[in-house]
Amino acid sequence: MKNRHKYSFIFSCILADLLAIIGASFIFLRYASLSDVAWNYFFLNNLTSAKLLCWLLPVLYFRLYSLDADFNLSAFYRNTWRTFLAQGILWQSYIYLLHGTKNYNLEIASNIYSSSFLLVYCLFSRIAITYVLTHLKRWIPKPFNVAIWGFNKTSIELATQIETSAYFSNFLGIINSESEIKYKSKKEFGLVLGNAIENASKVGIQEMYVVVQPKYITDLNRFFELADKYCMRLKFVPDFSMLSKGKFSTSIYHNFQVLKPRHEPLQKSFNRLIKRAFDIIFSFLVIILVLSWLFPILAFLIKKQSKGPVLFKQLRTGKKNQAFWCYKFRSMRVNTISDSKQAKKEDNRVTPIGKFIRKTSLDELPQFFNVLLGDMSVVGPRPHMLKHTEDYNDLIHNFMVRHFVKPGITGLAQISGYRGETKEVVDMKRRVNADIDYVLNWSLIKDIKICFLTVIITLKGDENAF
Amino acid sequence: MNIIYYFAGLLSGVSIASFFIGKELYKFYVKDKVQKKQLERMEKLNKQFKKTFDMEGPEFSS
Repeated sequence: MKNRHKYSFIFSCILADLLAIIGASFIFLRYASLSDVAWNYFFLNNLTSAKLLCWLLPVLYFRLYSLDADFNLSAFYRNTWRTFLAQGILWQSYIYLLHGTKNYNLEIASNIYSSSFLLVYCLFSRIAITYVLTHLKRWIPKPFNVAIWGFNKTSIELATQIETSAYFSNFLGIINSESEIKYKSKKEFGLVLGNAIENASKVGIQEMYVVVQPKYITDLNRFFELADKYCMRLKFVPDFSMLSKGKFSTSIYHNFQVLKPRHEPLQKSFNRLIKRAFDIIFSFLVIILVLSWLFPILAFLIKKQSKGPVLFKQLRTGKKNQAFWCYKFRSMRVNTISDSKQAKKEDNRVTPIGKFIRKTSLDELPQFFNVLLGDMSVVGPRPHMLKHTEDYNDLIHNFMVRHFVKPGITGLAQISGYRGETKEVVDMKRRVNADIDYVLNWSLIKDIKICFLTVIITLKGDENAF
Repeated sequence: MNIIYYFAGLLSGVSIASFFIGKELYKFYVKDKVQKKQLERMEKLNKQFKKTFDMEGPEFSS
């Protein structure tokens, strides 16, 4: 029942959005003839289908209407503006690139009116959607009743989660307000839970989450069977709040429940494949378009200013704590303490060209070869010297989590201002926290965003780069 | 024509701004409402724990 309303609601949204896109294309067509632009017939005849295609591609990419997952209003708002923006970019690219229309610009009436229409529609449709979603439960004659049984930290957190997103079901809250710690035996607990299931079915609860510590349950199947008898869906959520203050990530391996300390998107092989493909394409482009002409120039200047090789290689800690040779343009005079001492401001080991390439981060460019070799990624936690990894691993308890993924040329910590020398342990802690945040929330869009912000920060000049 | 252009631009700007401000305000409203409820429940649970352990925690037997 809850799915019936969810699907009706989502299909109404899809239909309304499609009608708006068709409306916008009609407005565009209506005013297109009034401008000086030399439109071609193919463009005018296929305008609506092209506009719909420009809408559908971002809809599918951003999963605007997710039918399989729980409906989340925050995600819907976020994906709405992303989809509308991507639609606009695709539409303008389509006109510019495929039709190369003369005298076309963004300021023509058809563009302004159709865009205004879509933006106003975007605002009012989302207000209407929010209103309908928040009032839907009142209009449904027989709502789908959901409740929680069990009063503990986990059940309170679960109730908060359900309350945030229970648009299509009637959440009755936590139906018992007595903590299970007052029960003295499994038998007493079993009797109370059995009665609770019976009473819940009498008041019309169709789905009930039982949240208790596993030690209170003797035979879970007995409660499942009891709930089946009353035609109620019973779900058991183990309460581990007494075991750990932290949160777990859970998954199912065949039929086994697996608890993990954290969820890592890059553990999925498909995500790793996407990241690798991005790394290879990006590195090839940088090597062909930038390094092909910059390498000889920098090599000449480095060689001219000090004796030694053009490239500096150093053993650094990579993925799974394995060492690899990290390549850089040599920015210092050849010295014996480079493997243990970090570069600092006004370091007299740095050559004049070295100062420039360090400031502009050009010294990191050879690491694109490391990316192609598979030791590094374009985006990821920066690799540290082996000695530093060893030292900081003793000082920071979750330091090695950053080594669950490949190290990167740039990373979230670097664009957040945590690059350069780490004088205090707290500096490194901040960097590690940013790195772990990246590991836990990886997405391809995030990688692209980090690359883009790195370019901007480098062009602006980072004061931590020296 | 310029006035209509100006009006359309104004309408678009107001719509975008309202959308982003509105979505953040709504998010804040929901979070505030839900977290207040969560806090009340936590307070109640805390009181129960205190009460139980003040009277010497019950021994759980199987």
